[in-house]
Amino acid sequence: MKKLIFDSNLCNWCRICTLACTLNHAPGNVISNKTSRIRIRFNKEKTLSVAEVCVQCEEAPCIGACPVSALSKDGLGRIVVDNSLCIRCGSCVKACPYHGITLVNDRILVCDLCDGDPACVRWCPFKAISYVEFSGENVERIKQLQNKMINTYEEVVSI
Amino acid sequence: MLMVMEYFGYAGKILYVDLSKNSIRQVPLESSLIRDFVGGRGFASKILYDEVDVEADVMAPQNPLIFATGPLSDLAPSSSRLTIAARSPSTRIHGDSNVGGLFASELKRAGYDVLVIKGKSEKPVYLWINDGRAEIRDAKHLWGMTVPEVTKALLKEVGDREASVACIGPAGENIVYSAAVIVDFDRAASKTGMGAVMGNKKVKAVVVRGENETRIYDIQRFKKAFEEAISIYEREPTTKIGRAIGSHFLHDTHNAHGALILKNGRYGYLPPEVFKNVCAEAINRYNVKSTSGCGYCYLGCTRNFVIDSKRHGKFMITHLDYYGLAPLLYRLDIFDLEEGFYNAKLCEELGLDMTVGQQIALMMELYEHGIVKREELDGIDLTWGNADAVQTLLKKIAYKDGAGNIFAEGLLGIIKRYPEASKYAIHVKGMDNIPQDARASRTYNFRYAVSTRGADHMRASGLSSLVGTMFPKDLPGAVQGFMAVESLTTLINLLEVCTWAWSAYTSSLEAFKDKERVLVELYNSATGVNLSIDDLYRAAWRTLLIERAENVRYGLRRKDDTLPERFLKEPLPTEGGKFHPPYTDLDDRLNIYYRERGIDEKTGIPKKETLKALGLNYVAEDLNRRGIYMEVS
Repeated sequence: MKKLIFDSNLCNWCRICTLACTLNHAPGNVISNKTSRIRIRFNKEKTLSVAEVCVQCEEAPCIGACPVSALSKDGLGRIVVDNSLCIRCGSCVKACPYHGITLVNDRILVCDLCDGDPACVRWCPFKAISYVEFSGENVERIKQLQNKMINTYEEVVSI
Repeated sequence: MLMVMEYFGYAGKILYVDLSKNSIRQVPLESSLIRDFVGGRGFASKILYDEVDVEADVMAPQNPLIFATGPLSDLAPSSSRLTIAARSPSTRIHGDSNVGGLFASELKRAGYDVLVIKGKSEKPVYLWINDGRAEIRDAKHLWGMTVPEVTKALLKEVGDREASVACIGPAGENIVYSAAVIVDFDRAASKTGMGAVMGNKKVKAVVVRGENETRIYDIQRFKKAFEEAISIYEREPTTKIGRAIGSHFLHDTHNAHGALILKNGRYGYLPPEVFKNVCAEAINRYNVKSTSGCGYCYLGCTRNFVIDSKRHGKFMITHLDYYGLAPLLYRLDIFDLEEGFYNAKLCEELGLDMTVGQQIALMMELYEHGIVKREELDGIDLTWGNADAVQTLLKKIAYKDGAGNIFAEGLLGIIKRYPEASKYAIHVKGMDNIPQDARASRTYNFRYAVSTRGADHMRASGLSSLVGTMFPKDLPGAVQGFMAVESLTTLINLLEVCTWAWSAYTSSLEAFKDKERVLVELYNSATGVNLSIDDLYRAAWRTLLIERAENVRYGLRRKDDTLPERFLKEPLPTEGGKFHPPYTDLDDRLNIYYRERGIDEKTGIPKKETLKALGLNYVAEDLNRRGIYMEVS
């Protein structure tokens, strides 16, 4: 099983990942930060950045938070939303510690891993986003980077 | 019935702010403007030509200050560029400056392609532009702040740390002609004194933020072109260099060519025992982050440095490139890197642009010759390499304190005060020559002579020797090679993509051709306007000529398309006791250039028929009405 992971040390907040995501999903021929499933939050003064994106975490609190059990994980480990069940309550949005789920235009948006070949990973010039096997020595590194995403978030977004 | 135009790629609107009338209005982008000038620098130069009051004072309040994005701003790889334009106070002619960061992206997302500021406010203000709304806000509490102070304060005030701030520091407030507009803390729109124009209008900052979407005409085609652009970059060996050390490799390149402008242009080469202290490798030791660049950047020409200095304590300087450092380091005979970094940091905080380094170098030479006396400098001992003196002076310049006033009107002000300085000043059309010495690379640096904003490396940036292989191996061929680079660079400025990524870092003729083709494809698929490369190059040509026509109205002629006197008269000592001879074939090159660009050879005035063929009849008529064509036989 592979996971998407973000390393702030390599990120330049150029936002090309956002462009890659929205071009790849191309909702209505528009490019928009809002409909991207990955967004970069940055703090120029502190030269810090963090990605808001689903990292296919083991705990998946979004699934448990959903009052109507509309969320599940599929074979790729990505979160799948059953839109026929979803009541757009935003519980999953609030539950995600990575800010990886959004409710935009009455629809839940979460990374779909571009069906196994994430465009943001392909296009990131500095390899700040990678899609790596969650096994062996990678496990510890992925967990560290996941924790870093959570722990640095407040520092990045605080004014 | 009112026709509402659909816009793809472009935001579709120009925002006009008149500070004297306290009014804000927006007008739709006209399709003729798009077709003729494409965007960015093209829009800015056209608006400037049309709206500047030629007879009025250089700093007349009615003169516009223009912020222009391009059709590919916020869309293409390495695209987050912005042109800031106005009549330049420092050169007194056409002025514009190009800057990165995220301002262009945010302005477009806020719904505007161009912002035009006219008039002058009575009290300090800043503009807050957010998702299709704009307001003029009081800035009394911000006046007097340095660049980092005001940037921080404004991000807090608008409550969004991802907003983009273009501001001035004390130098701009005090209308010092070397003042830059600084974007996002550390990116300077330098040269031509745009910060002074902003300060004169009493605008401390423009803050923008947008979440609007951009519509793409053919998203699948655009995506394909985007992927192709990335694959071109990945193939380029220069991309690796850019990512490894940014533009700082140029310190080494220019020294290897003996092209560093040392002691105000008297030498071009540093021997290894000295150069080792300031070479790319030495600089890289202070580098703290592997990458650093603008929006959608594929290279990263700048670097962030942390310095733990005995004299200045611990400090950080972010997004510093080659040109932000060289004029404040060995150009002043300073070989202590930490002092160079600190000089750059001071300029950034005070909102001074790096051309001030070249002015200090000139003053150091005048001081050496006894033309400038210590008493005039408030007792500062302005000897070569005196970093302490430089730092004291930089503060005095920004605050127009005592000897700082000598620098208030830039290089031309120094020459006015000390007429003897004219033979030492390294400038063209009043703009300090910041890049390398023209004597070391002739075809490449012919650009300083014909650039519409003075001695300039960014008007034709790319490997003209590579491109030149398409043309005959003689002087006309060399000029044609130069012109191909000038055309592409101008087009890059119209689209507002990065000159470095799209031209300067090009390492083969094949890559040059690929980039040219992909730019057209990106433009057409994004906008649906459907222009050919020839159409786009005509727009670039139109832009070059409207800028030239503007300068002609201010009195510039062929004699102003020249090089610094020192480059034309003195040989340049380089490695091993050898010399680069003086630049001798300028006139021959100019004749060829004028002929190819449809400019009158005798006067340097764009020919009537050329302007008409380019659809610029009104410019030809304007020049005619002013009696300018009487000079053309």
